[in-house]
Amino acid sequence: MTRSFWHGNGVWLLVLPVLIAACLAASSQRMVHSYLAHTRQFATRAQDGVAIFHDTFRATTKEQTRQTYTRDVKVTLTEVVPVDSYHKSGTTMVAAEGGRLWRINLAFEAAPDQVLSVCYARLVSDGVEYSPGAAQVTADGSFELGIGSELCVPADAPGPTTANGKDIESGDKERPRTWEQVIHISLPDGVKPDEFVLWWGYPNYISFPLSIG
Amino acid sequence: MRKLGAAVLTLAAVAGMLFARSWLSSIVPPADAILKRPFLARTTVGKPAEYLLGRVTVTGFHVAKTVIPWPPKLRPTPAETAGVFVVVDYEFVAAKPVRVLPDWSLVDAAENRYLADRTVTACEQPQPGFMIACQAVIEATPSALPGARLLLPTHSNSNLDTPEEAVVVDLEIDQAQADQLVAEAGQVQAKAPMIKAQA
Repeated sequence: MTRSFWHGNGVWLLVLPVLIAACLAASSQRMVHSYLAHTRQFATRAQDGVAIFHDTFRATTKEQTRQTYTRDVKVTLTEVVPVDSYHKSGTTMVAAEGGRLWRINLAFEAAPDQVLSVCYARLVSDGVEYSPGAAQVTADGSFELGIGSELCVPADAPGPTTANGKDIESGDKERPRTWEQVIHISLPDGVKPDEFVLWWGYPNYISFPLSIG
Repeated sequence: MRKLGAAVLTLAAVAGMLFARSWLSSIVPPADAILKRPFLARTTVGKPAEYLLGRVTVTGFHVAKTVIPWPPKLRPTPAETAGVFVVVDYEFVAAKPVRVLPDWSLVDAAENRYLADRTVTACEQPQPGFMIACQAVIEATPSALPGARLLLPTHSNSNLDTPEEAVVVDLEIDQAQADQLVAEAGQVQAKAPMIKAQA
């Protein structure tokens, strides 16, 4: 009985895992194209505060042709410290009541033709993410709407940009090869960040583990 | 004889399964009805509701004929209406970073929808761990007030007829209260948002 069972089904039992894998692959379109492609998935983990990041993305050129671009940049996280306030366009900004501002100092190194505008940053604590520009008020307690700005490139020379989120436009002024940026993020008082994440487009991102005592 | 018994048993089993399937399909709603059914967190004024984006509490509302905008640069002159403005005070605690809060809408008893007017007031970007108090201003007809409820979806561009997930706040207004609110409707100054860390 045992011998005849294996004789009749052995081959198919061996093929079964392959068929299951093929079925999963055939039904993975939504997972791959609708979910994974639009969420942060693949981290470049920084070593000693330094991350060498490589990414590719597709965009439309000025001549309306679709093209694949690369994004190569070296990012160094030099400091993450709590601060009382910072100045923004002549206005002193502080954390909202019960919050604490954290200053993140970053150093960038990239070729001037790399598209690095419109990046996103988060401080993470216990899996909860905090974004720049939120929970911040002026020193007199009032709101300044739209305090967000370029996080990852110099404001006066951002280099090539995807201004409308699709098309590549070259900047008027060439961006230097190295530059520094400062990001401020407001966290509830007593919450300490354990990770800083930075990305330009999904699914690749940079992760800086933090150990703040 | 044994073969006949097996055939009868098989037929009976098949008939039983067909009956069971028929009975099940009569009590289980069709797939389309389930797929299109939104997840609604129903609440009333003053009671918080949790949904995908965070915790929402409508703390109160006013009915006005004129709203003085905030911030003034949104619209330099007061907004006036031949109908009514429903000015909603709400608090929001984000469960995750939310770049822009979705637009509120008002749904009347006849399922007509009225969207919030973004030119009259503004809210700030929420942050987890912080409570943000904001206002939404919705222009509607006075007849929309009795039985009206507020709806906050997860995305401003989500299909209003079938939002995937939304908070629904019953304003608990009857005809008499609606008449009184419309009769007393005056001018309201839109407020700046207020944000503070959760205790």
